[in-house]
Amino acid sequence: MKLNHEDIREKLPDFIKSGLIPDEVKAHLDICKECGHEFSILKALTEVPLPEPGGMFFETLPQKVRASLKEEKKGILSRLVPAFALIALVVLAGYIYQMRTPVLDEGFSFIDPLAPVAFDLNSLSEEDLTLIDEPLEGEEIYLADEIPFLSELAYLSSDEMEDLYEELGIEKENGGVL
Amino acid sequence: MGEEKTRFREDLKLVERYLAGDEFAIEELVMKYQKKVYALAFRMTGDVEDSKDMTQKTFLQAFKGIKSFRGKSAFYTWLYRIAVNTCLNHLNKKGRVTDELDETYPGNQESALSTIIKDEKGSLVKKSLVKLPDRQRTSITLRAYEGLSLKETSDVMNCSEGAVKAHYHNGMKKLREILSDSSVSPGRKGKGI
Repeated sequence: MKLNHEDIREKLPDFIKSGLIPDEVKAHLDICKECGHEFSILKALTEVPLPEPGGMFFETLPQKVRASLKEEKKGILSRLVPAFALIALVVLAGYIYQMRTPVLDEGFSFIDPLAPVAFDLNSLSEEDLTLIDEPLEGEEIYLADEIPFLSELAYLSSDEMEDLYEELGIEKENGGVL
Repeated sequence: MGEEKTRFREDLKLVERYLAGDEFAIEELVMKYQKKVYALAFRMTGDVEDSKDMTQKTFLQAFKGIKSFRGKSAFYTWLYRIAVNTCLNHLNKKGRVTDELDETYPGNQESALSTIIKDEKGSLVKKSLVKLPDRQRTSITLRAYEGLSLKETSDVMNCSEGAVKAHYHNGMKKLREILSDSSVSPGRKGKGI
């Protein structure tokens, strides 16, 4: 394959890298000043010696890199663990606080005034307790056992009640028979 | 080509091993590419200590972001991209490297006259390379020093092959201009093209 000027110029680094320069290319470099000039620059560049890093650099670098990455991972974990522990502690403390404190949301609470309220009788004095047992003024409590006929009345059927009302002469307006 | 495929598969396996929790896979990958990354870093920064730092930083960044490596390109082109960006960021933070590059490094103890001349020539070329804009310098470094193909260079630089060609040729043109009066030039003076 015949190489033209552009092909040779493009491939100059490849020829230098391989060290194999075909005769065709050598001939072109002799006649083409542009390629010849570029070739000499590239050759000079590749001939610049590479200094040794020294200090066992290449011998120790692989372990250094591995150790640094390991340390960094550890560092991240050691920063994350206390952070997670703190978050867990705060959540736990919040949960305990919520469990122990009655919900008092004043903004939205409703206290039913008619709801039965547990009354602590222990706080009352002896005198107060006697007042509770006493009937209020005008209030009369009759027990069926105290008035014998009342218990008999309780067992009467509606017809018997009507007859009774009739006999007693209780009128309509007083709840008697029609 | 077969060698490339084998390397690609081997690297992918090592990456998978690391992702599966085998941290020693890191060491194998570092051992495999540390010299190449160091060489690239030195070509980019021109300083031994900076190159050592950049090499270590490149590997750390690569393994921290290993999940972004999808295996679409070769591992080493992905690694080179990180190395190039790490070096360019470093140079931008530090400020452009000046002409006063330290040329006295260990491993360069030869005293033969030919070596001195060669070193001076190389030093001059290297200093001239440092003066180039980032993308031109990167394309020349990857093509000339690292011997990457146009396709590989475009993968590393994250641009088209056409763009790589343009950066490379513009960079070479500037180098010719800078070196036109030096001994590197084979007797050609003035503008290159």
